Amino acid sequence: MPTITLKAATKHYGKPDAPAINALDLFIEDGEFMCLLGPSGCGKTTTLRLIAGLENLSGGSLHLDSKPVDVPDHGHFVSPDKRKLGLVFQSYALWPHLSVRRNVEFGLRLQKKPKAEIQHATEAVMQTLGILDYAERYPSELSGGQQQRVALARMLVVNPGILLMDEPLSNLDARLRLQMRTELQRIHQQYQSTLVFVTHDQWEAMALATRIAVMHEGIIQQVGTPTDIYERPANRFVAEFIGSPPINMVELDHADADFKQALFQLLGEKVVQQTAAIGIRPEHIQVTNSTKAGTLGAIVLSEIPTGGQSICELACGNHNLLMTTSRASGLVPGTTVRIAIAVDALNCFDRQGQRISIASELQNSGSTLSQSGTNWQSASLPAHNTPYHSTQSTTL
Amino acid sequence: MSVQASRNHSAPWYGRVLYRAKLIGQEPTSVVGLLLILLFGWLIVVPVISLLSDAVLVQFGDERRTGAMTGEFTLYYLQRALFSPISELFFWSPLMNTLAVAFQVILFSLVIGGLLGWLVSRTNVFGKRWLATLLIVPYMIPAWTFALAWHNLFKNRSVGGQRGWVEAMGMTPPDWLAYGQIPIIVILTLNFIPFVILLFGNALRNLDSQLEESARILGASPRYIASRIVLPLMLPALTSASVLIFAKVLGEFGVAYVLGLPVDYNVLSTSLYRSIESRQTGMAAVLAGTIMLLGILSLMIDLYLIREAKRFVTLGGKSSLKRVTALGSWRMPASALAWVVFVVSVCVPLATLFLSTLMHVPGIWQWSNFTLDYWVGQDLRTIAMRQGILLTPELWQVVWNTVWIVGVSALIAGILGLLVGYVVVRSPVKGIGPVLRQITFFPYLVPGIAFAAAYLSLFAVPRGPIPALYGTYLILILALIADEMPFASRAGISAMMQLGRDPEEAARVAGARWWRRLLTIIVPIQKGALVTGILLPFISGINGLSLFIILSVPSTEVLTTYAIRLIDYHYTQAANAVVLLIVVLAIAGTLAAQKLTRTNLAEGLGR
Ligand SMILES: Nc1ncnc2c1ncn2[C@@H]1O[C@H](COP(=O)(O)OP(=O)(O)O)[C@@H](O)[C@H]1O
Ligand SMILES: [Mg+2]
Repeated sequence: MPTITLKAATKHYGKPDAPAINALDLFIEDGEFMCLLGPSGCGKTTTLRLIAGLENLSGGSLHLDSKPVDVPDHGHFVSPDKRKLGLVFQSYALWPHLSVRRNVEFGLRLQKKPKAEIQHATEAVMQTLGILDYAERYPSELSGGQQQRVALARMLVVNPGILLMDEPLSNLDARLRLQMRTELQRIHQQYQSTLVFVTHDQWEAMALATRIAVMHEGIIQQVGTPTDIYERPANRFVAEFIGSPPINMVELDHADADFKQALFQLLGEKVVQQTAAIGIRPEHIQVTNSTKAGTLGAIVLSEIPTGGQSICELACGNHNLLMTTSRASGLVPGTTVRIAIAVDALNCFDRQGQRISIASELQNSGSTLSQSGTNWQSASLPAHNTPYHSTQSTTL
Repeated sequence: MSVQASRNHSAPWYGRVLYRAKLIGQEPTSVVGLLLILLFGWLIVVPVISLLSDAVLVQFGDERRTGAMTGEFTLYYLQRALFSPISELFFWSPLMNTLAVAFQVILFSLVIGGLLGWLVSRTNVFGKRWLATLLIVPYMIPAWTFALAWHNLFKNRSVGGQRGWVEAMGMTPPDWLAYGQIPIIVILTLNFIPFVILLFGNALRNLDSQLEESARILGASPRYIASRIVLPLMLPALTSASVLIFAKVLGEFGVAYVLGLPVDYNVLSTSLYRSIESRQTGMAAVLAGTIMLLGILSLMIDLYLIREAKRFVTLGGKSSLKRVTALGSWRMPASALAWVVFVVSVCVPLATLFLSTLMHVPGIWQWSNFTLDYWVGQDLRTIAMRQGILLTPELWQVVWNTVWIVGVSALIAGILGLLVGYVVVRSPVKGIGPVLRQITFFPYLVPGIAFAAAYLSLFAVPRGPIPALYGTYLILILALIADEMPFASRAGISAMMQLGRDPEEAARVAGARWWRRLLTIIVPIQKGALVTGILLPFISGINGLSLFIILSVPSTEVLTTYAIRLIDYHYTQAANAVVLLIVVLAIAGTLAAQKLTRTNLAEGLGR
């Protein structure tokens, strides 16, 4: 199965100073389940269409395996009908004048396969996807979920090495979406193809992908495993884009003296001076009974139960923080509580918004604080369904 | 990083050029686009240029008068047309007549059509749904049909043939009622009322009645609401209708021909026809150029107004509420008015035509006066034709001519229209789309009679490898195709705009090449649009007169020119019968088109 290599890939639609994707470097491995994640308009669809050959690069290069398929400077371009890949459109793009069976057969008929083989392959894939019963219907007579399966079947039946999917689940309702997620994973395992999947839904990306490429304004912000992206966001954009409720971002310029003081103690002067903002995930804040140094006072503003967990909004000094607790916390709005923060899960960002590594500093200062006996154990952290697992916790 | 910066320095110099070539070459869209531009350049642009140049080049046979050689530049024709003893008769009075007719027609049809449009779209007038369809019927029938009916009713002894109805009943209509400006205005008004009803009624239907209701809640009187809220919002539709009517009146030939000729009342189009008949090519070019110029000007004004209007008109979409105004005590009179208009504009003319083919002497209601001879009679000695029209072999020859000439052109126009739509929407090369769109729209600006004159000017003599086409079927087909392209390409473009790229791209990724996609994806999906794009040109081609009257010769005659020839020979009943055949064909075709495409007529607007 092929690899996909994009180097300095740039694409603009007529306006060179406003590229849809900009100097994009991305290597997608053989058999990988790669997810392009980003807000609407960040260039995900464009990237996918470039790989498919439905758009052409303005600069840079695209190779499938080691074959140049789109290299403007060298005059290489392979048209999409020769790239042997499958694409599921966001709109599904089923052909309205063809029955489900005809839709699915289309690719095989083009390849002039023998009739019996076409029928066999078509029915097998329709069976797999559970649409065999609808074979003679027309797309307009199907529900959204069924149409989606037809779109998948149509692509899978020719068994292309590369599967491209543009937000295939976004038009489905919540339950169907969960069901299709597992189905997609199964398909990926069964067909062993390289799969590139576009979504703006972070949970979908986290649940499905082996690696995620987070995009923003045409630029890849970070490529990594779901854990990497959640726990070690490369910059402020990624930190703020990933996670719901969103990460608490505290600007140090506006932070009050208490907060800064505590940071100095904890991270050391060198780190704090570089740092412009600190990101704290809501699950890394906890109410504590301890009044020891490193804990902070906060006023409870509100509590919103969201089923399994609940989200508290706290006023801590002159900024508001969100905190998640595993169940209704029983906190009364207006009361003052003490909070502790899991320090090794802190994300420090410099003035350019890039991540600062604080691992080495924690080795020293963390141990100092531990000796003063004010840390809480990771075991006491509320358990969440997030990929995050704390390895070392220290109070601030 | 900019594209420039990312350029690979080891890249070969020809890399980018090769790349462009590959991109363009991977799909024939651009090549097809270029071929279409060439084709329409030849079918549309060249004839028009050739015609206009005739106005300033010495024509064959005029060397002595102009004192220059054939083909040299001259202002002789312009001078003669505009500032000579004959220019009053030839140019200025037809121009004034045209303008007088146009403005009065616009005024009357806006008033009557606007009122009717409001009645059928927003009130509880009796038989509203029926009226909405029936009032549109004149729109499906060529205008000169009504002229013929008028002629049958009011003609007096100054022309031959069967006597007029009014005269047969003992009164002699004065010339001013029988011929000339007044009947022309009445007929054209009746013909354009449906046009206003459609445009104005549609705009009204889209007007959210909450706009009126909020004004009413604020205490505005109905009259105040009508003048300050509804009318300003309707203004774009009204001006648009006026401009389009103006453009159509400019090119209208048949009505003025039938009703103006007996009293030498000329408009620009009939004056043009006469100068072509008398082989004054240079003078004809001046007239045709004038008509074109006025047509282009009026459509420019329309485009400008539409653009201006878009700034403030945000007519509601599907969700807007449509309140029905209860007419109260006005319900009876208003309904009566609407039905009277229907009777006058449809029933009376068609009944007149029909009855006059059944009566020896019109207007005499005696059993012995009725006859089927004019349809199926044989060995008739009393009338000019020896047998009934249905038994005349000539008729069937002409019907066959009409069906195949118009059918072939409509088929080609429809297919080309879809192809144009495809290229306009998909062409990767900038410029091809807009150019193609403009070229195919251009004939819309050129009234049919001027367009026909242009064809005559270009194809009357051999040019290069192309032999003289005058008198052949080919010239008719080519001219018809060109004349119908605005509608065909508009249908194609709007259909392709709505399709979206996805279904085609899905096929492309699946491995289907261009032609394959066109035939297995685009054409089947656009079946409806294709049928419309063929049927609408077919209907208007069957109705059409002005192209044929100039380009047809006896061997390439079609129904419309045949009818006109019968009129010229004063075979009144036969002419009426032929006209009825055309009407039946046109209405049947329109209804079939509506049924097949499940659209309504409003979408065929602009014809
Ligand atoms: N065909 C196009 N023409 C012009 N601009 C486009 C076109 N397609 C996408 N864009 C622009 O490129 C950017 C990225 O679009 P897209 O790749 O569709 O984003 P996403 O799929 O992430 O929502 C957007 O700013 C969009 O407006
Ligand atoms: Mg998208």
